[in-house]
Amino acid sequence: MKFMNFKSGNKYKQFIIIYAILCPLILIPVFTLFDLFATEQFSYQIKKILNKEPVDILYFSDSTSFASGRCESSRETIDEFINEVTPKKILKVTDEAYSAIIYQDYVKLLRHTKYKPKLVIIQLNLRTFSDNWYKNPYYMFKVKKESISFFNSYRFNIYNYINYRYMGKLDKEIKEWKNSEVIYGNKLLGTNGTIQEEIKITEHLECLGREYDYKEKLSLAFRYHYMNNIKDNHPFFNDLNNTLEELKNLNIKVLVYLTPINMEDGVRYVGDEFRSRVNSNVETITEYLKKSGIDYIDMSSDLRGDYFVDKRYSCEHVNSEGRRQIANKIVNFLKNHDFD
Amino acid sequence: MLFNSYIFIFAFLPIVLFVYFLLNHKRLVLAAKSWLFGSSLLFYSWWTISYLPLLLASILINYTIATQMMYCEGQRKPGVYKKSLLIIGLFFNVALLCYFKYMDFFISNLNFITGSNIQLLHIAFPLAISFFTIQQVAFLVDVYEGLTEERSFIDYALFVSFFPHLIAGPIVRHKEIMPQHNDLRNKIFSFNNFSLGVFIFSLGLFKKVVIADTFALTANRGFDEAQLLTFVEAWATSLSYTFQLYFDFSGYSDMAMGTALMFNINLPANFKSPYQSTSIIDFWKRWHITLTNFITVYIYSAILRAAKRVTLTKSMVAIFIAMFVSGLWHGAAWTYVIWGIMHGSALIINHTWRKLKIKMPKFMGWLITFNFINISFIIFRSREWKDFLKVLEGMMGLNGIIIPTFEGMKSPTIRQFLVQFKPMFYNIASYMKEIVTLVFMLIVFGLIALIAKNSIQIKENFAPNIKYGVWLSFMIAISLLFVSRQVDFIYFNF
Repeated sequence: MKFMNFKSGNKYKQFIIIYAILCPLILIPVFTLFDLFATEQFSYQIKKILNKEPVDILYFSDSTSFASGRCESSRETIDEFINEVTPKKILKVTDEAYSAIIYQDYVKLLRHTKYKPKLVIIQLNLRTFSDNWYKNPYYMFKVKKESISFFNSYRFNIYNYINYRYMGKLDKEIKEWKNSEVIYGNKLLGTNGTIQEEIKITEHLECLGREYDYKEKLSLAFRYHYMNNIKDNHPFFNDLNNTLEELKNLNIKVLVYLTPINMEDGVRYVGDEFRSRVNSNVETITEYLKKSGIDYIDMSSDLRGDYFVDKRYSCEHVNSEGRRQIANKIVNFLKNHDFD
Repeated sequence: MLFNSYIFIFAFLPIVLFVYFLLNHKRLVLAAKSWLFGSSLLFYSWWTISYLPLLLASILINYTIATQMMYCEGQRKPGVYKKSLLIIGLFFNVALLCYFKYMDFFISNLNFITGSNIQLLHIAFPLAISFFTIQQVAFLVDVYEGLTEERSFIDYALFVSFFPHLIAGPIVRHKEIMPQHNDLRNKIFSFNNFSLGVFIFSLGLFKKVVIADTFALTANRGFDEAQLLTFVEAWATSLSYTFQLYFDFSGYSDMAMGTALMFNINLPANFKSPYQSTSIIDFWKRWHITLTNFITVYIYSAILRAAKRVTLTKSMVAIFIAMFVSGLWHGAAWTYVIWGIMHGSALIINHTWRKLKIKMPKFMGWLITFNFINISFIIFRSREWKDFLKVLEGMMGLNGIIIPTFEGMKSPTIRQFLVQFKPMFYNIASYMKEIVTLVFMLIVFGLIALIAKNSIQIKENFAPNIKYGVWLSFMIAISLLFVSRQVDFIYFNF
C-alpha cells in the first residue's frame, strides 16, 4: 500500500516503476505482436477468406507476377489476366522473392481453414536455386516464418522473432553470406558480396535499351543467377517437397510452372553454354516434378528477350504482354488437363 | 562502452549509481568520487585499454600545470611565470592533439606540396581526445584568468573524466560542473532527478537507435555505395545525413544529460532546435552550443583581445579564423576545413547583412539557412571529393530526375502504386519497405526536427504524469528493441 502512496516524494518513484519498468515489459511483446500483424497480411487473408468461402485458385508467386518495370504503361498482374479469360476466384500470395521456402509455411494454414482451394498454382523461379537467393538470409524469410507460425498455431518463438526482426541477427547472417564464396561446378565466381557489387548497374536500362554497354556485368549476373549446377539433392527440393506433400495430404490439386527467364540475353552475354546449363537444370527440376506426380508447365525458355524488363540485373520480370502470355499458358493448361 | 548498449543500460549504470549513492549515504564522499572516477576510466577503456594511459597522462600533466599556476603567487614574477606555464600547457595539449589527430594530415599535405614521399605514421586515434583536450585547455585558461581553481586531484580527474560527458561532450567548464559535484545536496539520491534523467536518457536513446541509425542506412548507401544518384536519391541521401547527424549527436547529448542528471549533475545543453534557425548566426547559437561557447570564449574573443581595437573587419577575420579552427577540430581532412570555411564565410555574410539592416521574411531566412546547412553537411560527410560531387550533381538534377509515370499513378492496388516508386530510389533502397520507411522517416522525423520542442523545452515542462509516462514507456520499449543495432556515434570520430 506504501507503493500506492501518491505523496509528492513518491510520485517520481511510482513514475519510474510504472512507466520505466512495468509498462515497457508489457509493451515490448505487444509491439512485437502488432508488428507481426502489420507485416504478415497474407496469413490473415488466407484464414479470413478460406474460413468464409471457398476459392478456385490459391496462387503462389513472386514479383514476376506483377508489374515492376518503370516504363510499363499497363500494370495488370498474371492473376488478373487469368480472370480476363476465365473468371476464377483467385487468392494470391505474391511478394518479392517468394518461393517454396515460404510457401511451405503458408500451406500449413490450409490445415485449419473451413474451405480449401480447388487448385494451388506454384510459380518456380530458376533463380531460387542460386546462391543469390537460396543462401541469402534475407530470402530465407525467418521473421515471416515466425509470423506465419503465429497465425497457424498461435505459437511462435518471440525471442527468434525479435532477434531477427530487431536485434540485428539477420544483418549478421547477411554479412556472413556476403563473405561466403560462390562456387558453381568447380569454378569460383567470387563471394556473394563482391559479385553483388560487380553486377550492379545504376542506369535504368529498361527504357534506354543500352544493356549491351554492360555486357561484362550482365554476363556475370546471368552466370550467378542461373548457371549453378542443380542436382536433385539441392536443399530447395526439400522446401518444395514439404509444400507439395502438405498439399497432397490435403487432397488439393497442384500446378507448378517454371517462370520464364531471359534465355536470349543469357546466350547473348554468356554464350551457348548458358542454354545448355539452364536446360540441364530445367531437366533436373522437371524430372523431380514428374517423379512427384505433379503437373507442371515449363515456360523457362518460352519468352523472347524483349518481353523482359529490369534488364540491369538479369531479372525474370516481364512486361504486360509477357504476363499475359504466362496467364494464357496457365489457362490453356487448365482447360486441356481438366482442372476446371 | 556505448550508452546505447544493454551492458551500459542494465549493468554498468545501475551498479555505478547504486554504489555511488551508497558510499555518499555512508558519508564516504572521497570514496564516492573515487568510485565515479574509476568507473569513468572503466567506461573509457571498455573499447580498448591502450588509450587509458594517454588520458591519465593528460589529466596528470594538465593538473600539475594548473596547480603550479595556482601556487605561483609566491614567485618573483608571478605574471611571467604564470603565463609561461599557460603557454606550456597550451602547447602540450595542442601538440598532443596535433600528434594523434593531424600528423598524417600534415605529412600527406607536405608530400603533396613538396613531392616528397614521407611515410604516414598511421597513428591510432585515441577516443575522445578532441573533447578532453579542449576541456582542459579551457580549464587552464580559466585558471590563468583567475576564474576557477582546483587543488584536489580527484576532483580535477573527475571533472575531466566524468563518463557522461567524457567521450563526446557536452564540453563543460570547471566552474559550472565542479560546484555541483561538491554540493552536499547532490550526494542524496533524488527520484525527482532520476525520473527526469531516465526520461531524457530514453529520449536520447530513441533519437539515436531508432531515428539516427535508420537514417544512417540511407545516408551510408547514398554516400558510400551508390555510384550515381538521381535527383530524388541525392536529396534523400543529403537530408538523411542531415537528420542522422542531428539525431545522433543530440541523442548522444541527451543521453549524456540524462545520465548526469541521475547523479544530480546538470550538464549544459548542446542543442536547441538548430534546424529551426532562421539565420546562420542563429544556427550556431543552437548547434553544438558548448563547442560554440568554447570557440567564442577561447578563440574568437582571444583574437579580438589581441587585436586591441575592435573593428567590424577584425571581428569578421576573427570569426573566419574561429570557424576555420572549428572545421579543423572536427577532423584531419580538407573536407572539414572547407566546411568550417563555408560556415565562417556564411557568418560574415550574415553579420554584414544585419549591419546593412536588410530585412528578410523569416521563412526565406529559414529556407536559405536550412539548405545551406544541408549542403555544407554533404561536404562534412564526404570521404572524398567525388562523393561530394556525386551527391551535389544529383541534387541539381544532373544525373536525371525520375518521376512516376502517369499510368502508374492510376494503379489499381496500393502495392502496384507503391512499386512504381522503386526506380526513384533504386540506388539507395532495394526493397519496397525500405523506401516506405525512408519516406516516412523523412516526413515525420524531418518535421519533428523542424517544428517540435527540443529536449531542453521538454525537460523544463517535465512532470511525472501520464502523458510523459506513456511517452517514456513507448520510447523505452521501442528503443530496447533497436539497441542491438549498434552503430557508433558520429562524433566519436572527432
